[in-house]
Amino acid sequence: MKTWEYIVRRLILLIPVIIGVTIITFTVSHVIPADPARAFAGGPKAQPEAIAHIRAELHLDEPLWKQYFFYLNDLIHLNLGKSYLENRPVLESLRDYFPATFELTMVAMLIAVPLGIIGGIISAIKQNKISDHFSRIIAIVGYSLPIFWLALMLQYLFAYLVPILPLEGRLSVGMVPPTTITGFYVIDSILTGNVATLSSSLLHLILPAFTLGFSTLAIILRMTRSSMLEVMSADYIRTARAKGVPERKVIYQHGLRNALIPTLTVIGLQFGALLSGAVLTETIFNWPGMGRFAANAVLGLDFNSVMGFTLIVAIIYVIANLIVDLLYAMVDPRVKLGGG
Amino acid sequence: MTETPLLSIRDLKTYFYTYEGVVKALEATSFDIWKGETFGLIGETGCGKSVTALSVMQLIPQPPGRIMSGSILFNGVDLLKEPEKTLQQLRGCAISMIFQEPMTALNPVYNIGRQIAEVILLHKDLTEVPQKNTRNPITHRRIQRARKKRAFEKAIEALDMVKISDPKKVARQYPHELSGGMRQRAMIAMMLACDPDLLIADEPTTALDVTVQAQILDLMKELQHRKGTAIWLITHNLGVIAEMCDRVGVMYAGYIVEIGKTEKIFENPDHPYTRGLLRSIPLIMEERQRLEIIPGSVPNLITPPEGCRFHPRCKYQMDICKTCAPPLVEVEPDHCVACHRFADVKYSVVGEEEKHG
Repeated sequence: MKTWEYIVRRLILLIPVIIGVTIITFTVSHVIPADPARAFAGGPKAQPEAIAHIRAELHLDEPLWKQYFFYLNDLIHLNLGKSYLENRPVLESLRDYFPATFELTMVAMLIAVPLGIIGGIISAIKQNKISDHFSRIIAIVGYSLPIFWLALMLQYLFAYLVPILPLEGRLSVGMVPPTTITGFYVIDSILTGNVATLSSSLLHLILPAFTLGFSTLAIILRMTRSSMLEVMSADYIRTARAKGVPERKVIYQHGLRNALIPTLTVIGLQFGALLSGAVLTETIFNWPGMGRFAANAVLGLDFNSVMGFTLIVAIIYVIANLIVDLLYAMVDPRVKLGGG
Repeated sequence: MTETPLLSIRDLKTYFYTYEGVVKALEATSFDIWKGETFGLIGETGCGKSVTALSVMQLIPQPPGRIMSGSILFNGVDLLKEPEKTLQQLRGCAISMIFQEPMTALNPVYNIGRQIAEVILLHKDLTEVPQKNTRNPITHRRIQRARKKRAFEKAIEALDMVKISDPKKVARQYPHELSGGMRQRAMIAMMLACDPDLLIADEPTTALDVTVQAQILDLMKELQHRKGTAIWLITHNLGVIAEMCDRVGVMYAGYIVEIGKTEKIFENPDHPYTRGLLRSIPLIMEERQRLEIIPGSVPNLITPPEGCRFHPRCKYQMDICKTCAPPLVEVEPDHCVACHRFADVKYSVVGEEEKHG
């Protein structure tokens, strides 16, 4: 099968995934005992007419299955409904918040992936030496530290005790964001040649990106270490040494390429998890991204926003996995796309 | 013989430090391999054949393995005293090694041609390609690419040499696309690509079908004639030894117990272990008899028996066998045995042995 054919096929498979996700989110958000109409109309003291009006507007007076079809119909027209909290279409909100989250996630991955892989390799080839113990401690700490605690500690250390990094937000207070081209502040600043916003946005990225990426770093490190250990005792590594290949090349050309195969899966899954799981980090660092938006939407019973967010996350997961599968086929010749 | 041997192993002692204790895998192993000959090393699983070979290559996993003492002279150079860099230059070039498992011995993510080309790139200067070490990165890259291309062509030639049909296609295939026999051929092509002086073949045919085994052995013999490579064949298949080897060493629990010309050992095995080994093969031509077995099993090498390590299983054992390890003594030209009672073994007949047993 040709690669593009495979990609198209996988993208078509997105449709049942989306339908499945909408059924679940729709059902869950409509069976919980809360009345969004009342909430949007102003809470306990809301006027009955206002509530009835909102109820009719949201089709909340119709049977559930009918409501679902209204929702699907809107979805086909790329209308995710209206966010009552922000008083604008959900799609518009997501479009604003997505780049912030994506930028944060990318930087978190840029920290986690290289450090995790390098740490894993060193740990494996210096097994049971000091550097191995050190990386294993990092891995356990990264696994077990709660994100909120890590975030607060980092803020306390680097924004309060030794104030070298900003406490929260994407830019310093009062700074005008760069003209929106891509929505990524770093890239937009470079494109518009604005050095001040570039440095400010980079500084603001460090703490939240590290917080977000730390557990991923730990997972990648452990994965790389264990698969590297396994690979380095394989027969073909002995063959490579018997050929007179220098040890460095044995490790990086023969070992690493094989060891990266399981690590790739983890990276793909983690990428999806970070994009969707930035809720805590974004809330603590007051980062105007999708995670903070979703958290607010859940608390404010803004179901359209919650469903829109979930949908985007599902799509991201599918695409991230598709990319991982394509990379798989590139790294490992035994993997045939779509075979089976 | 006045010339020096190609490989001369003296009192090699290799231990493995494991959690259960120190495994004394090799204890004072000594033998020589001469230029261009085929030397067979035979013994039960776990007796130290592979450890000897890996010690020579210095590919013993360290830790837990450790070469305690002894010397390995290759062309007069003690490999145990050379730095890793020199060893890297020797491996794959002057000494190469074929492993037992063709299924797992090739790297799954690189194609066959590239894996063979790698060894050529490492050890051959590929003089057809100008290779001035230029500082200009672009020219440097172009030269590198030309060398790689040339090495790949040589790899295809090497595959042709081991009688792989359509070597061009096979060079671009990956290990998982080939059969076991094909992979072992590719392995041989890889290890002979640089015309080594010594080829160590550690059970090269054990994992293959019988018909393929014969083909692989024939191929090795043919290439040996053409290139004058010495082959050190490690196997537990006596038929293969009889067929292939000029000289043979019998190993038991980390010791060489008998060594000499193949015919002499097959005709007059003087060590009780060798005798048992030879008697335990079925013969089609002779009248059917119960196969003889050697009682007991290979000793645990963490706490090996004192004295001669074979004595608990030996029907000729005396008191001296329990305390004193027998030295290797020459019983006739080109035939040495390590046994206190080789003379009695020599003149004993089957009936007498029954009485002893």
